[in-house]
Amino acid sequence: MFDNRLLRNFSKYSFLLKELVKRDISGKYKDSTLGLFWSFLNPLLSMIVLTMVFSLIFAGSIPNFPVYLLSGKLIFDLFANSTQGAMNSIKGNAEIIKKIYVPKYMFAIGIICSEFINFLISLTVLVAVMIVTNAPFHFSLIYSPIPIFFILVLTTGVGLILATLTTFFTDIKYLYGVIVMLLSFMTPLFYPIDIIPVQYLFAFKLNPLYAGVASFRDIVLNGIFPQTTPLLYLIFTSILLLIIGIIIFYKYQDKFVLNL
Amino acid sequence: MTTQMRYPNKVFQEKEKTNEKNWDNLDNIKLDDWESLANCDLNSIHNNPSPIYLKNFNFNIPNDAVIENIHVEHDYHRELSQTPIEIEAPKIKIIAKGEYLEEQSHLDAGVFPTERNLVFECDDLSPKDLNDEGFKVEIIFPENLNKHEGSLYLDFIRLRVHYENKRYLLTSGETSSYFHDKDKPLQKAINDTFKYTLSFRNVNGIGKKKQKVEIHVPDGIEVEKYYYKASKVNKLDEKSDFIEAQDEFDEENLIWYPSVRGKGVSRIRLLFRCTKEGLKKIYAFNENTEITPNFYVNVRPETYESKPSKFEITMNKWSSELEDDDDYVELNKQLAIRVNSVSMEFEMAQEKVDNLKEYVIKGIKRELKPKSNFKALDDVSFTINKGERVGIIGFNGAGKSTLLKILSGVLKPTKGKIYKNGKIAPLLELGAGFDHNYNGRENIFLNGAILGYSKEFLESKYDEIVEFSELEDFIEVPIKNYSSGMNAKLGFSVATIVEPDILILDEILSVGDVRFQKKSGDKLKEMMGSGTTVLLVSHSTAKIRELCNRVIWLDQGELIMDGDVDYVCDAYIEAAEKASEDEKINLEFE
Repeated sequence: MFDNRLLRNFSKYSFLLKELVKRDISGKYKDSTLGLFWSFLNPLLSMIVLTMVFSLIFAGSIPNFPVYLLSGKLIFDLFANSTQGAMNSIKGNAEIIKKIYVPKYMFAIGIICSEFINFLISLTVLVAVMIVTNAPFHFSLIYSPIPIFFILVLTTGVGLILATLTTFFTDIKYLYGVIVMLLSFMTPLFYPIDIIPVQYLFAFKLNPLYAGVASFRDIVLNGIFPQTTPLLYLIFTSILLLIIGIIIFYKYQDKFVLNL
Repeated sequence: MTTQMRYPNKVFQEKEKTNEKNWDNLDNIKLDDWESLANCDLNSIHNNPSPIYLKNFNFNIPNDAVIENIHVEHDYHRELSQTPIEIEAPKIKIIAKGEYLEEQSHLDAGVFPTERNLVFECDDLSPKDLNDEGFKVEIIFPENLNKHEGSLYLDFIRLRVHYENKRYLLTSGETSSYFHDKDKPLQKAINDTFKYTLSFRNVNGIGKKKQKVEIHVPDGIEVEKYYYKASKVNKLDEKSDFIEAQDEFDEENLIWYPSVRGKGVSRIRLLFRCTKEGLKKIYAFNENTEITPNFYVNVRPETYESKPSKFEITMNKWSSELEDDDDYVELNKQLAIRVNSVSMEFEMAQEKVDNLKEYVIKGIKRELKPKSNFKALDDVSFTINKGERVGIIGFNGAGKSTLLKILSGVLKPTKGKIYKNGKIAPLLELGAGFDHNYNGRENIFLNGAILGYSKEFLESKYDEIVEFSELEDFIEVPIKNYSSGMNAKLGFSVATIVEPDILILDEILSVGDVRFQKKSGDKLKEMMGSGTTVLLVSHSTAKIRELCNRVIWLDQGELIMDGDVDYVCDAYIEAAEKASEDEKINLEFE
């Protein structure tokens, strides 16, 4: 009966989800002349800049640096933007939440969906760069939805946790900015994992984002099905964090309105 | 049950006789503590303390309240001594209306203060009697039984009056503006029949005694038939012991014994036949209520052709709720909203800790102050049936808006449950979530989605929304270029497009220019018609009287009255005269 009610509520508000995604996407680059084109331009430009800087340093160790960088950065940005968006989604929609009953998770899911659409647009940059750099299109690309899906699961879990925490402690918002920066260094985006001394390697392996990025690169660059250990680790942590996120969010969502 | 605690005012008196000792510091007993005492020094056997009178209490109890009992809480003790005095428990008398009730207090005067409580059943006293000059409490200590000397101490005397606000309400349709009073009697011819309906409501369900309603009918009016139906009897409180009772009617003496025992309403309808010409006056009486307003019928000769009056039409439509109005009975049976002992507490932190550093530091230092709770709603229960139009009144801070927010789902109650049956439309906020970069059309869909409408529904109603908003020419313009009036028009048009089963309103939302205000007001009234259940909070009792047929009065989070619109509004306005200015800011009292 509970499931049934949940599903009915979800389908009742599914139109709201669409509208929220639409609003988030159109609001992302509002007032800019190029608009949604920035979703394309943004990763392209940052890829060019980073390639110029780092391809010199890591020239020998990474075969196709632009593709290496983009395949990692797109996945990482999907996570970083979505979790930050979800974190602010409750406070950002306070005026609605305080006045009207709306399933609150919709705001978090909405922003994650819109960031995912943004990610899909950015993927075209990766394809374009792969064509330009003559990178081979492996058959393994058909596995690519697997790591992307579990990165989304991870994102949703972390996003729900952050949305809950930020509602009660505004500081989390600023703290998380630092954590994202730290994570971006802890995930080998623009450097090869080989440069990390062996004794510190475990810290990187604990980062589920690294597992996600490594799996995605296995598919895109190496043309193989992702290695089992990192993929299983990603699946396990993402599902665990999603469960924790749902539990925390459900436990505290009734108190959100009192803290907005 | 309402409990009130009241302390005596200033006046104490002693009654002196020979062989009696006076009290010192008698004023101290009005302080409710164990330290400031009145004392009486007794120096030999057979010495008694002089009796004490307390009077001029100045209780603040509504005049129509029903007194249940009076608790006299008091304490006396003797000095600690090797050679003690011995004083037995005093007699305490409550003197009112020239008569008195007397009870013996408990326990001899011991060394240690011990609070005693005597309960006087005073259900025959009225609030007026308690504030009368003749209302006194007398404390008579017996004599000292020991040879020793010593002091007797009297710590305090406190009176606690338990009373209930009015329990019963007897109405005969006088809430209708078409009620036939002396100035506009119902016009009937001989041999015509007409209906006369009485409702007997047990407002708070405490009184469970069988009640008696005398119906006074003059010569020339005869009872043709009668029928009664108890709707809602004892329905409200499932936990209370259910008392099965039947309506009874004594045909000879026209005495109705309503079945209602717990909280609820009983109704009787009499079909009268006119047999003699003249102006006839009909009324009913119950000892706990007052006489109902007089209902007048002007009986004309047989040749007179009477038309049904507006009163008969409206009363049959709105208040019959009897067998002959099946639709209404059916409608009335269905539950729309049940609020089951709902409490809402807000945490009021002494200082708001919303940053981590403070939280952690204070947590470590164990300085996180326990948050004090503010009860916005305290154990509120009621049910609303389909088709009822319920107004919610109360002073500022009474919890009205909190209640609406709970009903609309924005807030979850701390305790208690809400049950809602039907599509609910809370019109508490217009244009929630409007995006300023969107144009009117896009905002209709966004706002509609937030209100929980489906895409198909919005598409089918789109033209209607635009037409009602009168914004056809601006619908493709971003709303950041709209005036606030245009925004409100758009928000109103989206919000009111539904046909809800339950409509929740905070104030009658009239928006826009004068013309649109009228249009929007009419639209709301249209939504309220045709069996929609309505919950309305308004600052204006005039609006409530106009639109509602039942009123719930909240005060400081408690439901203090629930019933007939005029009765509750009148009581509310009376109470408003005593309320502080803060509580009344922005409220309108006709």
